[in-house]
Amino acid sequence: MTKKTKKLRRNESVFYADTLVLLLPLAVLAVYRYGLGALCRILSCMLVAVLCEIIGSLLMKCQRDVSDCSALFIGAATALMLPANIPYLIAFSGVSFAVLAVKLPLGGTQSAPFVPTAAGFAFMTLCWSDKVFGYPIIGGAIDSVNGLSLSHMLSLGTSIRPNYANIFDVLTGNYSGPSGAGCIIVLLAGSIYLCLRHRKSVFNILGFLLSCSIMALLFPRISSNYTHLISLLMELCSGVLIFSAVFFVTDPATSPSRPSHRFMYGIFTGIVCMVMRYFSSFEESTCFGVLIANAAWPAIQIRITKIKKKKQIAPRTSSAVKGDAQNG
Amino acid sequence: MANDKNRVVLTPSRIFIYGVVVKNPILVQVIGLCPAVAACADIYVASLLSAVILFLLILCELAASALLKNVSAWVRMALYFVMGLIVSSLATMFAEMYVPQIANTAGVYLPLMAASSAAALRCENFAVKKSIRLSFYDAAANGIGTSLVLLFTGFVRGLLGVGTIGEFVVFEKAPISGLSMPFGGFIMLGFSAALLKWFISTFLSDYSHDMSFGIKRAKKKRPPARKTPAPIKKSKPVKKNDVASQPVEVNEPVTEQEEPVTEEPVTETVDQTLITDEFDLFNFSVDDEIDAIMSGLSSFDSILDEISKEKEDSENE
Amino acid sequence: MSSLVTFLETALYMIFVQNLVFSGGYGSSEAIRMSAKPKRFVPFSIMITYFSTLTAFVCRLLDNIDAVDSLGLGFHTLIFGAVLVVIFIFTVLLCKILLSPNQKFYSTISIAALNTLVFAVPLINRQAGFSLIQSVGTGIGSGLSFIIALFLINTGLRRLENNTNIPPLFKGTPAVFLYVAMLSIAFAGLSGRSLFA
Repeated sequence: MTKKTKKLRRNESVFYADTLVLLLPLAVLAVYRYGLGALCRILSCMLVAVLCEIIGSLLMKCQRDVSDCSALFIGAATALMLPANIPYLIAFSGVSFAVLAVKLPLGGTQSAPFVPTAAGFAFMTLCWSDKVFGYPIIGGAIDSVNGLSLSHMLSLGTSIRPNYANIFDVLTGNYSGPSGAGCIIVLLAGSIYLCLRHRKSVFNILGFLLSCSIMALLFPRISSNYTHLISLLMELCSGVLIFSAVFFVTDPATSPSRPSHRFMYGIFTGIVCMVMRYFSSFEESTCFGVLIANAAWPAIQIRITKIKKKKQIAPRTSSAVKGDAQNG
Repeated sequence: MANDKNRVVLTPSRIFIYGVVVKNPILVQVIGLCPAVAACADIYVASLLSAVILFLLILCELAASALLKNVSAWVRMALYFVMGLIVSSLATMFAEMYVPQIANTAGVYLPLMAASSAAALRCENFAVKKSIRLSFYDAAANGIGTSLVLLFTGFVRGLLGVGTIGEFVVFEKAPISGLSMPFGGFIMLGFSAALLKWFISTFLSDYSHDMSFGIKRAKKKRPPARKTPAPIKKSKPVKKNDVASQPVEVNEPVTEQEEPVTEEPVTETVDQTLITDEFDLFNFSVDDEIDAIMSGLSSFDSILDEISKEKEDSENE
Repeated sequence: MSSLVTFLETALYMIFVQNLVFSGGYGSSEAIRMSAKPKRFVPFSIMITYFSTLTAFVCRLLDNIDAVDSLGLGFHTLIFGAVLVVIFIFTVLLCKILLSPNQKFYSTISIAALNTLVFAVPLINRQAGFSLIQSVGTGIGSGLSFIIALFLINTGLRRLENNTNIPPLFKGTPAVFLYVAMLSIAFAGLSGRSLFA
């Protein structure tokens, strides 16, 4: 293993360890709201992810390092994106798909072309959409599936009443929704922590949120008092948008290396995710947008690099020609 | 001889193993994917499509080998399509009459077998260059190879994606309903191809040097030669018993008259079943180009530095 | 104006919501094989668009005849296939006279004309009950959806080839199939379910 590879692997281990730290307060909130059932699901999904990684590595005869925490992250993030009452088998299927069909066969932590957790969630959405979006009511029985999520409200064109209580509920995730991906205040605090630890991630997150905000302001799906602001609030706080901004758009395997490219990647992913949300038949389709962005961005980046190089060569050659002309 | 490296003895058994396993049409050659991906979520539909594709392959390859060798390529392609049209429309009418439920489930995929790339590509790559007997073996082998994949896919996707095996309901609710969608077909094919690769490398290691998994591309055009001489490479010693790496020749002439029923050794080249062509979008390596640009820019920088130094020196003087 | 809106709507539907390659598997083998030859993307896609649009247009006109419309799927297969073959032969002869092309051109045009994607378009139009304008929109949309599929799969082939971390069992076609499966999942997010099953 070369020094560069070792350094890359160390960076990824640190990244995924930091994301696990970020998921911890979200898990605590999920347990506080939904009880020990949520904790069981999180822990069991993490265990299944690790087992799948070990068994998959043995069967596929590839060297994998479980200590890079990526499998633990996949398990925890998947569980937190799902309802607290999701059947265990569905959660395990999503986690297994993410590890065995996306991560291991396509290059692993370092070079998988798609974000495994997003792919796993998209798979579960296509196979069991009624279960994946059947959220329990906050404070009600965990078996209930009648909770009205913000995503569902947006798809129906219904708005929240613009008062401080409702806005506070939205920001703290006190609406029916994913068990751990709803508390925006915690997610934003976590994103600050992630940006301090991995400074380049700030470009991804900023680009993504900027494009999502502009789309939400320009094309609101709801009509109410203070339409644009309420649309902005609801769009950003619904579903797994900010969760994706913090954890998927910053994924080291799919993210570009240069800060300017990261910013453009964030903007592109934001636009694609918002378009998917507007036109998809599912109430939450951010993960599909992430997958399309993962697939399309490398082709765009090659074009951008080529154009930049052409621009760099052109002024330098013209200045060199001018210098020659002046000298005589 | 010029093509010694590629010469391999083609016997009926070898053709059979190539067609079914080593160069499976769907999993290795990537031809005829449409029914496997989208239609085979039911074992009965898979059986019907398998029968159609097997019959179509045999018919087309025999016709191509016997009658179409001297015909223009584009006319041959049209004739393959016409033959496929006749076969698929007859199959559709038969299915609508006798098994309407299966025909309904198959939908437009049964008529679409007329345009299957498997028949056209096998005919162009093999049948028009070989004898009728070998073409028959190749058609049968490729047909069986395709059918096995379709049946396996239909069985697994029907069981897990729909919850049934034919008419028998195994699960009241499908365990993984997404497998019945096209992406489920691609996932099945991906893992099936990996399984096939493992099978070949474990049980058919003699043929593993012929495994050509992947879409081949032509070699990249190398940058201009460097001024420094390239290091002398040591050639690998040829092992005495390495049968796979040594070309096999048969000195007997090929005859088609009064041949025995047993295996017929014929010296033929290995068919390049995957089209090779330039792969690089811009006809050069992007990384090499960036390196060349950066080295050029650095040389410009050094020239500009020298010019500015000279100016400073002259001003100081 | 409404015709233009209907046409655009159908074309966009075929490109994104019901991408024939990813959501229906039509022409998937041609898309995967052709994606390894980037130089042929644009001419191949133009040919596919041309054949699918013209075939869809002519077949829809024929379907307006009551005697043809009342026939079953088997006869429709024969009629639509015959239309496609006639258009193909006419186009090749025209190109032969006007362009004098090389052998590569003939192989490209043959694959572009006689594939499951082009042949599926008139069958899908009939099954969905599309009007003439919608049929033309479907034809053009299918060609554009094919070129999008080509670019996305080509990008994937590049990444997979440069990826040294793929396990040996999955190197080559297995990884390509899984990559295309991910693309299919991504596009399924817009549709939810495949309508043309």
